Amino acid sequence: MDNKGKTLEECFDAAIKKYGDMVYRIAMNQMKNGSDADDIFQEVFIKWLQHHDKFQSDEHEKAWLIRVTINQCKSILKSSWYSKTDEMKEELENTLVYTDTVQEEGSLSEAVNKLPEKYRIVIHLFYYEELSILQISQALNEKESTIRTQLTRARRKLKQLLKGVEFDV
Amino acid sequence: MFKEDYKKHYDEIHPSPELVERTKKMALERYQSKISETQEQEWMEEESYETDKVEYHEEEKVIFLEKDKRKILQITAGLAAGVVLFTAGYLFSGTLRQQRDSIGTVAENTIEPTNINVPSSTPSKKEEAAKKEGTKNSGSKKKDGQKAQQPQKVTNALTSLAKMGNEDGVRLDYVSGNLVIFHGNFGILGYNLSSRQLVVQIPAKRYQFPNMWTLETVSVNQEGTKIAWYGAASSNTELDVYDITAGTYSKMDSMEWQEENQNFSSMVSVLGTDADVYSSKATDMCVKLSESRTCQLIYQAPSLSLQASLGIAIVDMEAKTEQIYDVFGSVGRQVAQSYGVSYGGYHNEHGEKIFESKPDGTETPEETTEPEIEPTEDAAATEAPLEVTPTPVPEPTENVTKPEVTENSQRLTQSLENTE
Repeated sequence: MDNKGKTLEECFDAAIKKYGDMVYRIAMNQMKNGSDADDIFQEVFIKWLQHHDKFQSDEHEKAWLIRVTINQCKSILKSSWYSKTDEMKEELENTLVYTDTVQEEGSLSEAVNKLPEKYRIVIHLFYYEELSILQISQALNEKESTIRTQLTRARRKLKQLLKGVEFDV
Repeated sequence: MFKEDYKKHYDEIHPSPELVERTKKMALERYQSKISETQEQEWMEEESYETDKVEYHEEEKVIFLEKDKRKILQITAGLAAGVVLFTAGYLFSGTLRQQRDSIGTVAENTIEPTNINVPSSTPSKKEEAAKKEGTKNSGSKKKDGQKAQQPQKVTNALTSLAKMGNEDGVRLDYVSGNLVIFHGNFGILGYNLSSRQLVVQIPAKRYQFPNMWTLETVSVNQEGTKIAWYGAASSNTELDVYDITAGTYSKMDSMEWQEENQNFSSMVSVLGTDADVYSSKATDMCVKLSESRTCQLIYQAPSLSLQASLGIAIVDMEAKTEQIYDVFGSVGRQVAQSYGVSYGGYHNEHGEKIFESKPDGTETPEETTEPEIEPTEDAAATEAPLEVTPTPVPEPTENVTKPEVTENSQRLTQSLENTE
């Protein structure tokens, strides 16, 4: 954490440059829409500013941001208003996971979006952020074995949805 | 390759420059206002201590206190408050001790004492040893041993249920006739609405589920005799089928997960219905028993002001009746009060009362007389055999009257005296 000699604004810019995309992509992965992702992005970086002087290392800062982003997503997803408007829709989509096979072009994002939230985040952190199982388990506060299981099940579901897809791990 | 395609897709996602600017502006503003608030507070504190003299107007007399005198007064007041707190604490602990002595071990036992009757499950080594010992010893000792084993099995799952956070939740798996089966990271529990007893109890620890909540695929057959769920966390996707009728919960078979395994096509989202006040605190699912009747769980996570509690609500929208069965704790009252609405009646999502509770007294009687589960209690502390006489199981009628605590305590005191 080398923020010496930098103004608060410069620190903030540096953090946005370094982690802004990551936070926004995780938010998009979980919320599946831009307006919610925007809100989460704002909240996360407002919180970051309150804590910016407490991070011990870059890894600590990154793990903190991932966890706060996911928690923020969870709290919105669990809020009664959101549930009321979105629950039935998602439930319907989840039931389709087992029956439909996505065949259109650009189906990858659709297939991933059809996975339950907990599988989506594991897939994202593993394949996009390239975190290890251990790092994911720390970020999500779960056991390693749980993450491994979720990853396996997520891949299996994706295979059902995207016939012929190859997982390179 | 999946990884490359996935990366390619997400590489195109960025926060817009406007969003970044807006966030920056907002974050800096909030940070500055927070800093200025803190500084203002510090300044106020400093200023108040800089004043050498403080004026107190009391009955038109002006009293001037020197700074030193004020300090002495503050120290004296602090000491006096300390003495008062210590005395109050000591007296209160004495009262608790007396209460605990008077009701025997009920307060230490974290189970619901009136309604628990668990079928005998596969005995652990400890239990087997206790059984053997029981057969060797006299009849009375044998009875005590058996009595001690039954509540012990229930305590572990209920204690972990009582300690569970709000995020974990409880999920409804099966409702048919009088049997309601639900699961969470504590394990799987089944409650009989008629006899008001826990009749199925499969603690998560025993089957080494590290996180039961991840097992969304708990499934019960139509007859309510078999439960299927994923084994210990692994890549294995086969469901293990367990027999629940014999009470041994022995593994019968394995089967591949199919969508048809989900027996409840009538499982609907509570949030999709128009009347529900409990949903955000409990499970998000309920079972539709008929067009107008639904069954749902009501779970209250432990918090500073509320004790954990779990109940089952059967709502009949047509007959406008609601029955709440407390698995433990006084669910209805606690949850309703936490929403700021009066207890007794079914409310919609805005907290408005839709109709009154069933007036014939069929809802859970005398909740306040039951000793409730202490969420802070350590499950390990309950491992020692409890010398508790199980209270008689209530008759399976609609109007169940639970025995008073005082009766329990008298009976317990007597049984304790007898064993001594």
